[in-house]
Amino acid sequence: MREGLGAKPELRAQLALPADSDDRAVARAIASELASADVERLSRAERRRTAQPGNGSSLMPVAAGDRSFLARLKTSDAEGGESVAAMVDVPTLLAVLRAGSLQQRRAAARRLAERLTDKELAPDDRRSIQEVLEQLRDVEIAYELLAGHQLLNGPTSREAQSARREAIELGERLKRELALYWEGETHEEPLTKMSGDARAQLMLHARDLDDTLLWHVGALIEGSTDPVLKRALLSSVRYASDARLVPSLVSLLEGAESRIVIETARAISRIEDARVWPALLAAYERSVIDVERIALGAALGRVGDGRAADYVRAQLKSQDEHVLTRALEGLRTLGTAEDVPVVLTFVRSSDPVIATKAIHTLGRISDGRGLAELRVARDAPSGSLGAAAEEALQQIGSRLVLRGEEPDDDALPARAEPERKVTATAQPFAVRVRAFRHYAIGRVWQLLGAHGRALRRFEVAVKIRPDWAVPMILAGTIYAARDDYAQALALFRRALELARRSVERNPLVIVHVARCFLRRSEQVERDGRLAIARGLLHEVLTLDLRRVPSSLRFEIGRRHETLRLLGAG
Amino acid sequence: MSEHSGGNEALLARFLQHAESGLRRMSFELANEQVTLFMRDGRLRELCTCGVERCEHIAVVLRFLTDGAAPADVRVRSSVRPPPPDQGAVALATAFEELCVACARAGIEARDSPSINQALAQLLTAAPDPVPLSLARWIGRFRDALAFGELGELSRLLDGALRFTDQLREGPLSAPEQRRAWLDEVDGSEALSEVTLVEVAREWITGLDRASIERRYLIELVSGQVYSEERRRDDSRISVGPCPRLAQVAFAEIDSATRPPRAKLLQYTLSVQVPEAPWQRVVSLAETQLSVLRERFAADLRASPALAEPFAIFAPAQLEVAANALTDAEGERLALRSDPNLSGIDALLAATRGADVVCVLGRMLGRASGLLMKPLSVVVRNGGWLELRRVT
Repeated sequence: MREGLGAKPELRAQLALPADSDDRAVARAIASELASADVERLSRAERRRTAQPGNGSSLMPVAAGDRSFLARLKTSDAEGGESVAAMVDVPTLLAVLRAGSLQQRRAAARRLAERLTDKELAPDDRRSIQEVLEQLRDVEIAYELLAGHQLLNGPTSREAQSARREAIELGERLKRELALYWEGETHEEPLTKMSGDARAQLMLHARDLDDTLLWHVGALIEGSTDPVLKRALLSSVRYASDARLVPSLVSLLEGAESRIVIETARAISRIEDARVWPALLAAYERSVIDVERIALGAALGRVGDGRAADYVRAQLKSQDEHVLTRALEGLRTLGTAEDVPVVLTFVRSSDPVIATKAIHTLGRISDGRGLAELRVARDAPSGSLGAAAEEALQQIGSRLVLRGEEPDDDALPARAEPERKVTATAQPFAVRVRAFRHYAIGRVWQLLGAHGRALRRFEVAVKIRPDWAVPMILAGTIYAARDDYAQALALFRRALELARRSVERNPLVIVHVARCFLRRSEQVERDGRLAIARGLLHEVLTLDLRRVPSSLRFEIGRRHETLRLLGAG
Repeated sequence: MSEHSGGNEALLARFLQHAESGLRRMSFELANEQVTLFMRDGRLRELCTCGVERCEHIAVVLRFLTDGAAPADVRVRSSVRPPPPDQGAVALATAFEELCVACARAGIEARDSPSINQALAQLLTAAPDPVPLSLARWIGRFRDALAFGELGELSRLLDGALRFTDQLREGPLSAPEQRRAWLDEVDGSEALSEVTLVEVAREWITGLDRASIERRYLIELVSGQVYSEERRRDDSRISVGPCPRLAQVAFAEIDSATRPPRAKLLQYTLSVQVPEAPWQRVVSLAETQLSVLRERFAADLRASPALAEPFAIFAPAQLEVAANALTDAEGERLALRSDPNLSGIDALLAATRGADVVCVLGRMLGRASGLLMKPLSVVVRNGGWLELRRVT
């Protein structure tokens, strides 16, 4: 059977078959004999086998070449050498928190949380940790940052504790609802009826949630035959980083639906688990679709395997906008200092989405050559570009510190500018007093819960002083609370025109504005007006959204991406 | 499930009368649904696979049983000539035989042999559309065995297929359980009812394409019998719920020709909150001696050479990380199957997330290198509690 019938003319005799038996009879006899012999062999105890060493995660290639401190920095003591887990120096830990790889940033956040519990920590160090933790908006390590926030003083700590408590309570509630759902008591699946941002917020706390809930999520993403639902759920678990999801995610990587594979690659590459890298590598080697292969290559880069760098680099020349944006994203995990000149050319792109992506990529590559260009972008009028550039400059500054290089002070972010007061244009005093009177009465009604009366007062104030943003924002908030997002949107837009920086810098206001844009886009999308929905999301993405909760920012980005893809057919 | 009551005491009395002779259950098939009548707690109950209480199917069956004598014009033949074998079955049998001959002539070292490829194409042409799950899986395993030069596996697959061809040629009434297992035919199933199954593992296996079939493994808690459940990637016709889960099965169809037997859950209720007791039961079912596992594996292969992919629960005495193996108390090693860049033991340890391994559940493989296990899930002790963790 191994060599073929022709190689053994005496076979018929060995099988006790007549010499003139046809090949069919001989083949049948061989199969039967060999099968019996094989079963017999397998039923016998084997000689003790020679040890064959496991060849798993140890085979993962280690990036050669970069001999810097950051490249050699390990995340745990067990790996030997310099490690984040053993690091004491707070400024270095903070620099790693900004500029390290995902694993290093996670480890630094955990270590900083440990340092916060150290009673001997110097007050200056405690203060600087608090400042950075409160300022940093790194959604990839949001769970670890929230754990750090809980150890701080003041409202941030209370907010973080409350967010975690709420997530756990919601998880418990969902667990009960899930039991009813699977027992057939209710037909509405509780997770899919939640909004995307609420789901993503819950999943940021996945590691605190019960097994049942995670199994359920796994079953939905693995078992659903609806690709839209599958993608929505996958983007909710993008930052969950929970190893319990690995089996379900690996099964999706083996599927053939490209968009699902892309979302899965993003989600799974953020999980620290030995099964992730081999699954990503196998999918990358199988993939032939550019956008999918780039996403898989970038995911490999995130887990420390840079083999896809050349391929992704080459895609920057693509004429296809989707391939180009994916390649720019991919270089965040795969790019090196040599890529900076090419990426810089995209910072000047007329498309703010591409320019913003390029700036984020420069921040992650963190090479000093991008500083001058980023400084220009930081001072540009566009809120989103400026915010992205400021973050990128901070990352590069931290990276340069870790590399022992001297950052160019001019290029690094300036201290936060003092709040620019929204000043009214010259108005007669009486007009201003009249407007303020209506505003004040409106506030009282609002505090008493009489939102209709409050709204009327705010609208009168707006009519009297059309250059005053505050009553517009309050009226917009009331409209938004009534789900009248169209009205709210108009007021928020006017407020943005009048006092953009104030709106962007007020976390209580910008969250309403961002949510309003998102909800309105959902409404018009439901009406089939995809281009308008896409435009709304594009508009909100040009704002400085750093003060918006990461789950909401993420949902806006996700929907924008989805609509862009839909727009491209 | 509905309870039969009122008006048909005669039927109940008849059932009770024949129960003494061993009558336990009656099954009827109509309009693609299966109605089952059985006794419980001294009452006659009915089940229908449509899931509707007191449905039309049950009503038809009851009318059939209680409507008295058959119409006068129905002629009952005293003897029936066996129907001739259908042409599709003959074509399939021929295709299997041609494939076996092609393998024997070319030898399996000729992996890209045109004659083998042609015979495989012929087999696919002769197969029903869509290709039944067992047949798709058989082709997937055959291609893998050929690609990796696994002579033993290939021979077993061919031997099993040739046994099936003999049954195919005997006509459509022969070996219904084999025909059902291979060709997804309607006849030939056995019924399973009133049992509790716990799902312990899932995996995606190769069919006509890689990772195109999902297979789930369920254990019946009283008998310890393992069942599988399968679906194609784009098919949602399978029982619902996450893994692990507890299923109270009122009615299921079983294909007994596969190893483990394949179940189709038709009436069931689910619980996704699995207490510790099922895991205690799973641990109690675990084998501690490799020699016993080996005997069971061989017995399954003898019973069903082509459709056996035995599942095992093994409580190792030791995990040998360096050897990528589990070891029993007598020091015999069970090697774990590795993927190209991930050893089985690394995958297993990743799934445990630092908890203590109590027993490993996986699919057994007979390879040229010996007996292997592909770990699919693991029961661990975490803070004094038993928990199941999925590897795949």
